[in-house]
Amino acid sequence: MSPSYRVVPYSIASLLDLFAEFSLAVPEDISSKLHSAYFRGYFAEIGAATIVVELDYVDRDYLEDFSNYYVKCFNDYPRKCTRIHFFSVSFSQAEFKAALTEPPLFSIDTLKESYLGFIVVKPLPKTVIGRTCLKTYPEGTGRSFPSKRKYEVNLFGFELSVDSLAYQEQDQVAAACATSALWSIFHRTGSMFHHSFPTPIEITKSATCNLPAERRNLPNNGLTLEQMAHAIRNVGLEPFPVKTPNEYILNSTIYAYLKAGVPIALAILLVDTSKTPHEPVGEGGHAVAVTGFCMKDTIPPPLYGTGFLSRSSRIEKFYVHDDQVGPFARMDIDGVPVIAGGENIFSISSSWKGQNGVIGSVRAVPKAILVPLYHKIRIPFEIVEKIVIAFDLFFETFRQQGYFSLTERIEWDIHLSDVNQLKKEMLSSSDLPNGFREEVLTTKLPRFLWRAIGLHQGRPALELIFDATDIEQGNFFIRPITYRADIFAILKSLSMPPPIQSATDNSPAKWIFQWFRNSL
Amino acid sequence: MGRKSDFEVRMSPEKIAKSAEKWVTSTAGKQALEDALKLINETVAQLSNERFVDSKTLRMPLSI
Repeated sequence: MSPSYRVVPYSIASLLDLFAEFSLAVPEDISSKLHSAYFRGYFAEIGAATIVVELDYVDRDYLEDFSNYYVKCFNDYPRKCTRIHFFSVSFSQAEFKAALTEPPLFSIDTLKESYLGFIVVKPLPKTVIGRTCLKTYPEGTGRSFPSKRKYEVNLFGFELSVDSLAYQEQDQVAAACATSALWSIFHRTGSMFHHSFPTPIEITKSATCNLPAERRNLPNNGLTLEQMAHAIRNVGLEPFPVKTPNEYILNSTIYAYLKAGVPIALAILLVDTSKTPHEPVGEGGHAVAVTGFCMKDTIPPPLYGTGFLSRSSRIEKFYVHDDQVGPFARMDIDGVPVIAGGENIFSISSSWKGQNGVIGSVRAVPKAILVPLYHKIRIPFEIVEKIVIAFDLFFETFRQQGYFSLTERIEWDIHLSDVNQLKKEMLSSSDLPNGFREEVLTTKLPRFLWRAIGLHQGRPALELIFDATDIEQGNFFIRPITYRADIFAILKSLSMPPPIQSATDNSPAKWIFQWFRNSL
Repeated sequence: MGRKSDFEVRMSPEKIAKSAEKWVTSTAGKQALEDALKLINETVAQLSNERFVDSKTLRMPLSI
């Protein structure tokens, strides 16, 4: 009986050899992929020590693409894949065999705790990296991956799991970059909002059935944002597009939804800055799935106009699933522009190589994001932001008059949330005044909420809660949560004088000041 | 309970309400509120314009 598994010590060379062995690709093609350089750094950072190769693996997504496309080719493309598992502890083939054939000689718990995830290798000539679920970079110190979920893995009876978000390379047949980005996104929204998990070919077909491309739909040459929106509707969600011409809008909008766990499609133009003048890469754009972010510990720059301070402006990098690079690839918000037509254009870093062969010499110009939303999340972020910006400016005006004992301007953390998450945080919060916790915990609230947490020196001072399921014309402000009793009393007093009432009633913050005016 | 701080004594709700009444009816106070409203409207309008996705962007091929 031929072996159904193999145990190999991890090294980047052995990994690339396995990619070549279990696909139809030649080693030169494997080593020239950006993924090879990316995985070298990634596995070093997460500490891979051992590989277990699971042969003859049936992968649902590949099987679907196979049955719809590859099986109809004249060439005999194989039906089964290979799944490569990674562990952070070292063990040998003999030790693993012993664990399967008799009571384990090493601890099953060790195997579970050291599991780093897997990569499915597809039996194709070039695009070999299939469904990939790998442990993220360690969270903390500003790094966060809210879009990850648990993947259960059964390896010969061992019940393993990894917290990640599935990633795969585009196969340039059933999927180009846009489909691959959506496929990753749906892995998260499917578990959040209980919709199906379409395969790449199902996504491409649903995107193009009513909005066919000018060229062939299959093999797929890419999608437009409009087509991606159609694919989002096909799983029962609502697409919400936002243009992203500057750092503030990119950061604030992505953060607002990603913090709730919703991964976001980001459409970018790639520009090769190793050329003079800077030159676009290819003829179209590229799509990635934004899956995480990293915040720095410095005061955010104020927004133009009112000087509004948004917590999201602390974001210094996003982590994205870039199907041409790898999972959780970094894109730095580093303030370096690209130059087009003599103008500086906002851009972020990428891991692509320019003509000079240097990783990072291609920069990404964010064009727009597409947020897939459950239909009940009706109030968009910008409406809540508008209200908080208005409230903030009045608050700051009063603070500068000396009405509040706050030494610095409030910084606002605005993000989508749900009632369970809010109450879970309130239950364990040490910032709430005594007696107030029970009131908040027992108040009936809608399922989806917008939270605008006003932070002073990093601690919550005041929070504004909005109903995300209401209609824009209505009063969807629910209530404040005041972490400081003095702020509550002062705001109530300040909302009374008729000239302030008149000014605030003519602003987007009207309902908030009315709430304080009418409160007991 | 504890002793009230100087700030809390100085700025009791009643005193704040009185102080605010006086301030908002002053020239400086009226101007501050007017300026705030104007700045809010300008900032919010600019953000809204910048966020709007035109049809050219929606139809941009993402083909790389």
